[in-house]
Amino acid sequence: MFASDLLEMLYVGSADGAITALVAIGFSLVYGVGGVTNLAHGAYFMLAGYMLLWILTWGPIFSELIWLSVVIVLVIIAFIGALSYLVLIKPLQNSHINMILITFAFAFFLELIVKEISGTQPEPIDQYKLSDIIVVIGGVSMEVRVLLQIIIGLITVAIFGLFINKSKLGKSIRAVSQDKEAATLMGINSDRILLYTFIIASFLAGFAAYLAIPGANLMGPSMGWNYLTNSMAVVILGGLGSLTGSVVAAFILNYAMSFTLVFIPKGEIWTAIVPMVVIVVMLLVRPRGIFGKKELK
Amino acid sequence: MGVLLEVKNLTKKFGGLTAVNDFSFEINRGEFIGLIGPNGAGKTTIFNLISGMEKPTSGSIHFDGIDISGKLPFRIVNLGIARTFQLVRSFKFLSLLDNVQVSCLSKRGKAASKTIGTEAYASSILRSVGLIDKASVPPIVLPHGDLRKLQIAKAIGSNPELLLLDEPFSGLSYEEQVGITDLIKKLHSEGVTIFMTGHVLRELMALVPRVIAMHQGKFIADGPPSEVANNKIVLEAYLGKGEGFA
Amino acid sequence: MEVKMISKKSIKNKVSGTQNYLTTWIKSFSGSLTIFCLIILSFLPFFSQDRAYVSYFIPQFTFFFIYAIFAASWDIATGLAGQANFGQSIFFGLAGYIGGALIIEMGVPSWIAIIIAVIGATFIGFLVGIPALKIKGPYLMLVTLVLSFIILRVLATSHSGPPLYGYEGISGLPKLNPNPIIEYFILFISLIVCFIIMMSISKSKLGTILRSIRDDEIGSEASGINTMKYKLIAFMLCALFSGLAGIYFGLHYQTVNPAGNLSMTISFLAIIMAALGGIGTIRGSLVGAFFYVFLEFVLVEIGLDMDVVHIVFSIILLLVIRFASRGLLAPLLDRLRDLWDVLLGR
Ligand SMILES: Nc1ncnc2c1ncn2[C@@H]1O[C@H](COP(=O)(O)OP(=O)(O)OP(=O)(O)O)[C@@H](O)[C@H]1O
Ligand SMILES: [Mg+2]
Repeated sequence: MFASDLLEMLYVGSADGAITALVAIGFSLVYGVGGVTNLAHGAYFMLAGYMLLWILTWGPIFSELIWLSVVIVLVIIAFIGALSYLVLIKPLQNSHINMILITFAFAFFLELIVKEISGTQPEPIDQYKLSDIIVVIGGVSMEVRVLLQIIIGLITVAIFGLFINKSKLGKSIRAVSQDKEAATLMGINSDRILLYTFIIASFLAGFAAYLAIPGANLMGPSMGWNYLTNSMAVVILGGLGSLTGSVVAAFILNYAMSFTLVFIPKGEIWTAIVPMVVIVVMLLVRPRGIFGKKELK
Repeated sequence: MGVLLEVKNLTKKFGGLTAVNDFSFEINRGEFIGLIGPNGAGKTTIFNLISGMEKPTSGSIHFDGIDISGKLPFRIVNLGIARTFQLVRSFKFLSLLDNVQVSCLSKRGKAASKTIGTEAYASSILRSVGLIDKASVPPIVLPHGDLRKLQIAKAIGSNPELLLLDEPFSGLSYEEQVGITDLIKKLHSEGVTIFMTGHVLRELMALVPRVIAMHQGKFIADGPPSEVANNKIVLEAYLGKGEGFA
Repeated sequence: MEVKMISKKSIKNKVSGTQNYLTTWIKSFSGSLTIFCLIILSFLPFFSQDRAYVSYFIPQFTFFFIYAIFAASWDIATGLAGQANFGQSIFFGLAGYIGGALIIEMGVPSWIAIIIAVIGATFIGFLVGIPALKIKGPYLMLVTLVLSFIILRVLATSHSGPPLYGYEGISGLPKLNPNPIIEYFILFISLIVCFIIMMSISKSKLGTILRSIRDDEIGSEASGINTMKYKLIAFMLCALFSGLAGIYFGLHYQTVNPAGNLSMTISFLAIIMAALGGIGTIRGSLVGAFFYVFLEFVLVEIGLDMDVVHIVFSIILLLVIRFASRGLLAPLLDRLRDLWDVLLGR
């Protein structure tokens, strides 16, 4: 009994970890490159999930050509990411409090819109899944869907790592995040780079939603805040600017959360506390994170 | 006379980097001292340690006989050490008067301004640094030279015995430097002990009777400027960095 | 003896100083405007005996009074002291719960329950302020926000019996006063008292210290200010006033429940009203709350659903922050002031 609980905890935690890592690296990227704390980042994930739900009801073309629906949703979410930078954030870059307030207001706005369209109840997306197969390992029945989440999630992180380290754009992004002035002197347009990071970040959040949601529930329009909190916890735990750190932290965080869920009475309430405890403790004890070089400001 | 500040075996490490390395010196009451060293020598770190902004890795700092190492910055201010910063900083949306009044509202500042009230006290400080005409404007509109004056005004609002000035001349034109020099001299003549940094030796030479030189976190020399300027290690430190000092 | 005489004299000076201040203030633009509004508000309940007017229109003003106190309290911590607080609903909601439970479970008279609720809220403000000593900016914002989610969830899933009644919340609370006009005046006077206190804080040396922390915390510390102490004070003041607003709100609706008193929408209301009026101005909250309550009134009258109303306000908030970060109405007031000066021939 205990062993199978533990196994379940591991396997749910790993899948959530891979997905959280995808959301968190986008958040961290935007913070590292532009110093923007984008409180609407979780809302990208939430919105992408709901858009998947909506688009499948548009007609048979969309529910049959799943890949087309997914591509459309990802394009739209990346576009929204770009717009939120260009229209809302960029003009306010010299006032930190206004910048944060506006991302908060935008997140709230998106949440209200979704609430208006779909209500607050959890909604299942069961028109399709990554996979229908179920295997039994160690007494626990595991969906292959969940294994795929882990694998595809990690592969995506690896591709992102390659992109950021090897490609020309990736190198410019790193240059700006390390030293904006020096990068500008080298002829890099840091505003444009920040725009690209917003596009990448919102795209990754949307892709995470595509991995996470089909076959599971949309947990209501306010679920974006959970992902935002988890992302911030991951960035603080793993350290800013460390990709490995983010991935490891995402797994640790989600193991801790699924441990709470499985083993602690009334766990579904207390899981929400885990990321907050992580944030507070890390900020107090080691603001640089486990792997990080820079302190968060 | 008597020792006002006693720094003993002070060390500060940032990860693998030792920014201040086993550093010791003493400052007597009423002295006027410079701290020199090339970029990255560790001058600002020493000021941060004295003012409580950083905690020493090891070593001790005594002010007026009291151990202040590791105390909170505001407590150190209230014991009588005020500082300015290398990069100017001010309260962006407060008037100059209020910028200065904040330090007059510290425990020590309040005690000093008891008879006339903090507002009048802050005005008198603004007058003495020559910014009284601009008392009601916010600092954003000030030219850099005035901002440097404001830094000093903010620091003396808490009525310090020891004033730490971190590169008070940086970014100033020659005329502006003269104004600040006069101001610092005046403060010294009023009895404030002054400890200031600079990385260009020439700026400090004419001003201070004693300098301490450091390089890569280590103490290298202490004495009158003419002697220190001819010290072999000091010369090497500066030439090695490719920086002239003459 | 001498000391006594001096202090008497100085008090006299102070009194005549206050008188002088008052006379110049009344003649000034903002003074006249305030007096004008106070007079209108004092007579407003008597303009009509119509039932709809008394029991529907007048209570809108009670909301305005409550919300104005609430928004201004947010402004103390965030606008004045720069402590980004997105968990404003915590103080508002928990004060309602404390007061409500005291009244229902222990039969405590309302006014004592109000006092204890406010004290309780202030203490909660102290507790929430502790993490703020180390955590800054966006992290503080997030920690306070998530804290409010957690408290909401704990209360919503609590046991459905006394004292908290789970998701349903506490109901059956007495009205502040059964007569809406008397309720109106109780809240009106509370508003005046709270604003006199909050405005004097803002103008006082305490206000200067709080602003210095907002503008440059390290600089403030280096000026010898015990920033920790003052940050806690800011949170406690913020919680005190929002707790008062919260218990009034609960008594007005005669119920407190997780969704109605502790949701993020509540915190959002405080933010939008303060932002509408102009963050960091305190009195802007008056204007922001007024604007909010009456636009909401109009929107609901034309048949919009409450959720749609909130969407409208989130769009307004986006526009205000983006295009008018001084607040929507500060520029308007400037115009009015110019007009006033022209009229007086200044
Ligand atoms: N908070 C910190 N974390 C890590 N390293 C630091 C920190 N502060 C200073 N350093 C390092 O310590 C060394 C000494 O820096 P410091 O600022 O004290 O030099 P300085 O003599 O004031 O130089 P400058 O003339 O440029 O002002 C430098 O190598 C710097 O990079
Ligand atoms: Mg320096």
